[in-house]
Amino acid sequence: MSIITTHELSKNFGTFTAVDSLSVHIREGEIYGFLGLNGAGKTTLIRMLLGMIKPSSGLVQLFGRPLNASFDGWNEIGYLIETPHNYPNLTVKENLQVIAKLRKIASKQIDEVIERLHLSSYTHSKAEVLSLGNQQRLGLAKAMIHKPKLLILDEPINGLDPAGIVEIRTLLQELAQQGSTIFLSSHILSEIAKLANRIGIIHQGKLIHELTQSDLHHQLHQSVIIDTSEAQASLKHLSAEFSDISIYDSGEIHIQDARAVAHPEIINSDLVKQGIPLRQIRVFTEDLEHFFLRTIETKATV
Amino acid sequence: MSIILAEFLKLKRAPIVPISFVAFGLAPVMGAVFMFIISDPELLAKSGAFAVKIESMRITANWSSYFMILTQAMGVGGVLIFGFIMSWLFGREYSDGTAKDMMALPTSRTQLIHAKLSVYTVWSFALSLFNILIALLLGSLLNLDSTSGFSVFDWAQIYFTTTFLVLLLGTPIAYFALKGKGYLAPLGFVVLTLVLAQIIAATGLGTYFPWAIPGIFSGTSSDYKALLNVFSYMILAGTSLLGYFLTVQYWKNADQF
Repeated sequence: MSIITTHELSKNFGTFTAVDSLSVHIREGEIYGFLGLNGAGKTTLIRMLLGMIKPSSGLVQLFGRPLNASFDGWNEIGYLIETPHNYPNLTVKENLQVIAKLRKIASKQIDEVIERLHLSSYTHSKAEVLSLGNQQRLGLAKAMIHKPKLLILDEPINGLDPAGIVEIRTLLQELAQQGSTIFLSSHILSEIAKLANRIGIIHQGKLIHELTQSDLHHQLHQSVIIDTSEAQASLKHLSAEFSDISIYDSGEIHIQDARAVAHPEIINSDLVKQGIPLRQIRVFTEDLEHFFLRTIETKATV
Repeated sequence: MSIILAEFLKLKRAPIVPISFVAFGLAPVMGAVFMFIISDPELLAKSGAFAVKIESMRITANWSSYFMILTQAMGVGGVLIFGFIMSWLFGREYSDGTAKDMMALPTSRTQLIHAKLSVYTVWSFALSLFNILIALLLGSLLNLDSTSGFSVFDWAQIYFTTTFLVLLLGTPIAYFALKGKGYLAPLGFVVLTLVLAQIIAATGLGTYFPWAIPGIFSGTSSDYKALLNVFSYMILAGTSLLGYFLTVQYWKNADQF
């Protein structure tokens, strides 16, 4: 079942197009990660999914139902948008009581979510004295208090320490295993890669690339990097044997040929046979930042 | 009901709540100071410019005058204090960054507006009653005289009608708080209306300017009170309805960033 469907969704602010004909389908139990630079349109999309901003054109369906004035599924959705904000004069528990009353849910769920988000020691602390990480936990607690089927989270791990990041990752994975669907945006690419089953890359309001976790690993570029004192001689010799070969100003030779990446030992023995001394040979795998930047640069030039 | 309770819960430990009572409570305290000075001819004689002011206000040290001061303070000061309350109730959701938490809920946005307006009404009437209690306490301590012909019932009718008229002027402030996404726009609007009320009242057209009407009704200028007519009240009610309509429509339909 498709939990979130957008069809040709667009939002214009005057002449500026924040979201441009964006179509996504997110299935039940999926963790969908949304990547994009600042101003790419992530938050505008999230706000449209939550009915906070009206689309200029296109459709949004949540749980198969159109998102319009009569949509009544809001208690199936939890959300956290950008930096979490809480009533500073209220305690953690009171902030959650406000949300529980607005969501018309039983107050026993407050204690449960406090426990779940490890906020017990701050139950009676005023929100204004909480650290950024605990503010974030409280924001997540507000999003999860009613055990929603769909969680929409904008930068959910902002401000968390490494232990907190692992906790929240585990929590979100557990929720997904229990059938919840999670749509999250983040600029922390490595975290998205660890968490999401599917990743969408948004750039200048357009969904430019969508890939699964395994696609991602296949699409990361790999190359063999060779450092030798006789770069030109090496290049001449290796060019005869491998494709996708280039030399950098530093004198390093990069080979992206799949056979070279799979068997760098061939290069090693070839060069040694030619009497070319090697200083270093290594296989380099592109990191996610490179992949992301390459993807958006490719699209920008297209 | 749970939505209204949520709105009341948001007031907990908010400094503006005691501040509003202290600020509004200055009216009966100042009134009591007036009564105290008037009741002592020697003290009044020494008070110079104050004595002239007292003379121009034609007040004496009795319950009737004291309650009249209280009503006039409501007619003018109420516009300011109630305006601050309304600005805070709506504007805080933006300054605290919590407005976004109120958007995608099973509670309709109109219900949220109604809950806030309920809190505004209760809070404002509480302030109104608070001033009466302070006045009763201070008036008793000063042992104020009752004047013949003074009817508490008639006075209470004027006092609470003034409160109600001031209360009605809150809805446009709510709209400016939402539109301006914070306190600044509504507070600016409150100050502007107060200034305009003074200027327009001075020109003699105050009976048709909504923000001057409660003051005139309260008796700040007895010459003008008789000029208030059905159109004056219709203009005030219309302003309130327009403010309500704009608030609800904006909150329901405007893009929320």
